Amino acid sequence: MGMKSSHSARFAWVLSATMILLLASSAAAAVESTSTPDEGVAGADDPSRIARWNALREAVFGKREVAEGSAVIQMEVPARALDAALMPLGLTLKGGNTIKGVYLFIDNNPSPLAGRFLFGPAADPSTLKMRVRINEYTLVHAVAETRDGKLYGTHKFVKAAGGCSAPAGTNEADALKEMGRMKLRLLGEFEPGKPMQALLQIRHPNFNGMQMNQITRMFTPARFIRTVDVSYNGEQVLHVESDISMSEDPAITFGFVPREKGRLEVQAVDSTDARFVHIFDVPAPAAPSAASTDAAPDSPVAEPKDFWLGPVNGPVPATLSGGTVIRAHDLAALLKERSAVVVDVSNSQQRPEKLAPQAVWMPPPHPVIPGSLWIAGAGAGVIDPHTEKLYRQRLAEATKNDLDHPVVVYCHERCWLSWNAAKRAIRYGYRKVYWFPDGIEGWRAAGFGTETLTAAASPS
Amino acid sequence: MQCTDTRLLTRRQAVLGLLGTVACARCTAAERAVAKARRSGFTEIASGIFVSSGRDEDADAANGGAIANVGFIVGRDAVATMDAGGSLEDGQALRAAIRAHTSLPIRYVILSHAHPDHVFGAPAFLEDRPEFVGHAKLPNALAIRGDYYRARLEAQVGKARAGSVVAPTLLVESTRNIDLGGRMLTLTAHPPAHTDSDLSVVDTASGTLLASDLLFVRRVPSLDGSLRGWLKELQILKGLRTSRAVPGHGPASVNWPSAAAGLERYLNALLSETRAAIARGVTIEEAVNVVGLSERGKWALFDDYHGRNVTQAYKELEWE
Repeated sequence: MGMKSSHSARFAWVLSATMILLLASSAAAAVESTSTPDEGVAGADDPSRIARWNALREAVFGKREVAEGSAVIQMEVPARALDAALMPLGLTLKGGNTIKGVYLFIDNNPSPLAGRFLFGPAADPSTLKMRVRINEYTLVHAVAETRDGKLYGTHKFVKAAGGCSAPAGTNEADALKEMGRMKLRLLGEFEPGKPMQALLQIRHPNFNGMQMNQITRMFTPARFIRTVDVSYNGEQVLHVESDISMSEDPAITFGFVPREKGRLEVQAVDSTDARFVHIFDVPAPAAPSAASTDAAPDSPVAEPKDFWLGPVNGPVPATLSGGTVIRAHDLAALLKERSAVVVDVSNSQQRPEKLAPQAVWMPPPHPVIPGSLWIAGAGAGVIDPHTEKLYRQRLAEATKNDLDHPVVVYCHERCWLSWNAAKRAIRYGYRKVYWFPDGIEGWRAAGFGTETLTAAASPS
Repeated sequence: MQCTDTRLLTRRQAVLGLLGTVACARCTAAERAVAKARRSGFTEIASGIFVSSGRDEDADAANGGAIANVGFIVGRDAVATMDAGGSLEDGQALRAAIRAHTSLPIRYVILSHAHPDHVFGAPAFLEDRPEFVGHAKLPNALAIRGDYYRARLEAQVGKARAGSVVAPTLLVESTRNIDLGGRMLTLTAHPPAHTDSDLSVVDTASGTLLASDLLFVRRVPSLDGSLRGWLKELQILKGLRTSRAVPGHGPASVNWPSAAAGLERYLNALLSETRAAIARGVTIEEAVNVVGLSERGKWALFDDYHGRNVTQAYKELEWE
């Protein structure tokens, strides 16, 4: 996605420039504030608010004019924000495909540029909704950018406070456990070529790094969704760059134009580079139940003769020669009935090399089907000798050298690693190899429990 | 914010005048002034259990943060308080009331959950060196939200009167008994319900459940933990063999379990109507305008908290 990378670089620069500028301006404000001690109740038209917006606008748009834009962009916020940590905000855009994107500013949040939204060719840029945090009484600005480079702005004054320093949820452990789950709700009927809307929900705590632990005097490290990319049948719908001003469990409503039945693919990346990918069928599959979190059934992919050497994530075959494909409920029944060796071959999260040395690296606990062995690397297309030896050894130990002992291999949905590792186990001579292609996501979606392993439990 | 029912206030002010004076007969003049100005007096709702009902208002300069019920339990050897008051000043009033009644040591200050109207009076008891007792998750909740609560309370009642967070010294993981001398209190740490750090107390001797904010009467409930969890815990509490309960907000004493009916009706309406709204595709911003409206008029401060409760419920249930 070329669109994404070029914009990301620019966006990052803009953000940091904004930060520096705001640090400077807030220091100035502190000096002035002796005459106006209660800045929190300054009205919508207070000069300090206008000055802050002017500074912000200049930091992001430079000398470009932001025209009064109510003919192009309108904003809807609740008359009174009921929950400062979760304020619904809606934008209505008039201008169709001439609209390239939208900038959202929550002026008085510590990180005021709350999000940037870029519409792709498959978008219907008429509606955008999101949920935001409001730290104190503030103006909220939305600026639409047209494809010919014009800017149109609108704003609202919001009375709410505490949304950043008082997170809505206190169940942090639970939030981390479920991180990366997604739901998509299609709003309206599917009709080819007709614009429709979708509500995308992403389970993520969006820790904003602003809560100080009073005992350690340390801030809970920030961890938040940084980008979200949505495409339909491979065509870009929406690219979002966001940060800590988005609420816990970010939820975005957007419009798109499905020319035919297909799939909406969502990829979210958080500030630790953790990547969450989900694919949703459009129209939604007939049986709803828990299926909204399942990956779409894959189109038929032929089994390769040998190990798969292509991209790890993508459509996988429906079969595995010499083995049995198993689904969640059958697997649960199998595990209940008799002992089987269950092997998770998903990758462990490695500390990114570019991470600053002082940055906290703390991958979330790794959820597995209870009792699983975690053997990262066993599903590589080309396996290194050390890992191969380890994989053979651990299978031999766990099965007590019984080639008729059931072996179940899985990783994630739409992931070739488990297919490769299961095939490998068959080649080692195991006669009852089960491949569970729905992965840990499918296991959970079916309502079964997991246990967690830490990275230390994974062989390096 | 205004109390929605002025008649209620007037009646309470009348009660306040009477009981405030009686209960504080042995206080100093200053203590008496404090106690009198902010709270109704302490009523002995069962032998050795004294409770003062808070005002159905948000904290402000006039009420000094005395908006939740507080109480104390007197044993043969020691005293325990149930909650510490909603501000330093409110805690001082509670302490003065205890001292007016008994000179036994205050050995336990029980903090029922992390909300400011129940814990900010704790510094008033530091000189007594009690155990500050809380749910195992209370320290974390206070650490995350304490600074924010304090800033807000200082804005509401003034810096000098606000008080601060005191870290719990005795944590309850599941249940624990504490002995006041011939009087055993059973403390139960609940899974997420009203908040994620709810602690309830049962005094077996008198058959009293000190429910704190697991039970709201009269004032609209506030949901800050788990809606499904709260309903579940309420079922368990209803099974207790106690005939009397002390709510966190509402009268000093109510019949148990019949007094749970209003809360249960409210939470069930919130649950079923929010679920139905989600299923119909009603958005979170629209849901606050359609869910639970049959409850309006049945609760004080309904319009101040109900919308937020719907938002919380929606957020929880949309992931079902």
